[in-house]
Amino acid sequence: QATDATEALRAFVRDAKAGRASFTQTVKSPDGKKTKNSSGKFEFSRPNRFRFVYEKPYAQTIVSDGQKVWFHDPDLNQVTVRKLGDALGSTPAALLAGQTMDKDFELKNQPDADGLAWVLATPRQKDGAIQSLRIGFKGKQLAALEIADSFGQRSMLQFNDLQIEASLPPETFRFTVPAGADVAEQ
Amino acid sequence: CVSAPPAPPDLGPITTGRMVVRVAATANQIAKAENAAFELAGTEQQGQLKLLSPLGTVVADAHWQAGQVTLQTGDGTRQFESMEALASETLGEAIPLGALLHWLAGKPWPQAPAQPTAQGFEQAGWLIDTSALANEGLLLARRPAAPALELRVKLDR
Repeated sequence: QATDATEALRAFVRDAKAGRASFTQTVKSPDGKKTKNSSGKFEFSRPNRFRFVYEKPYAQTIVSDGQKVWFHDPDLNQVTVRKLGDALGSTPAALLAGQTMDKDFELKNQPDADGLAWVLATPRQKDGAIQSLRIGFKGKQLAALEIADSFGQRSMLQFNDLQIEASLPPETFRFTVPAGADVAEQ
Repeated sequence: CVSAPPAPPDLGPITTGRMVVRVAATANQIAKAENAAFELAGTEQQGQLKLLSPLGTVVADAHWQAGQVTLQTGDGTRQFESMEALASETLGEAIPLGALLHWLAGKPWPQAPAQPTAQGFEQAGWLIDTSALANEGLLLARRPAAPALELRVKLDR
């Protein structure tokens, strides 16, 4: 029985309180000539807490504790801290950590592709940077998230060994500024 | 028949990496920093600078040609009268983008005098440290005059 991806997404947002997965990210330029691959680990806990740790090709960490978002780039020795509202909005992170889908996104099922059931999520509030998201499910399991920006660039995140948890320890979403790193809070 | 949009000019090799522009704290201003991954191509006369988010989405796409500087963001398209004005909008500070193209190649900007220093050279009020550029792809540029600015660039390897 074919998966209704919109219902699978609503169930995921409603039932998946917390979880972790590894991910690969493939960014394709509008002309399709350039792709850039990265990979890392991802943890989330509703509402609005997440930890994206990019490991390859270089390290970057993005942590939200529900109020603020820390962005650390070790190569640049820089930590920037933003209020969650500024950084979240209709960015993909809102999808995986927020509690409301239908309020922020218009959801529409799409044809199955690549062995997944897909739902198109279009931000209700014109975000400017993000044109639309497509979320892919293997049965009820979140498998992929594709972000299309307003320049036609597409970033595909594929999630592997997703584990849903009842909760994750709070310190998972605390960011400790490494000694010697420059910090700027906006 | 519908004519295809003009093919983008071939701007030659694209330099990609990440940069942070830091403004030091002053008596009445906290430290500020703007991070972005970037793709930079072309010359001072004609070129393109794309700023990207960690998720790979394009945040801003700037083109310059024959004195015309155009910036496209998710909110629309705007014109600027100079590359410095463009840098102020996208990076928060009037970073000399024309000079940056040369600094990233480890060379002074031909448009202004430069004095060699132990780490690289001094030019237009900036101290350019190119000592880690060859091995690590790291460029450090500092402008001591208030508000003190620091530009750190890490090139993709």
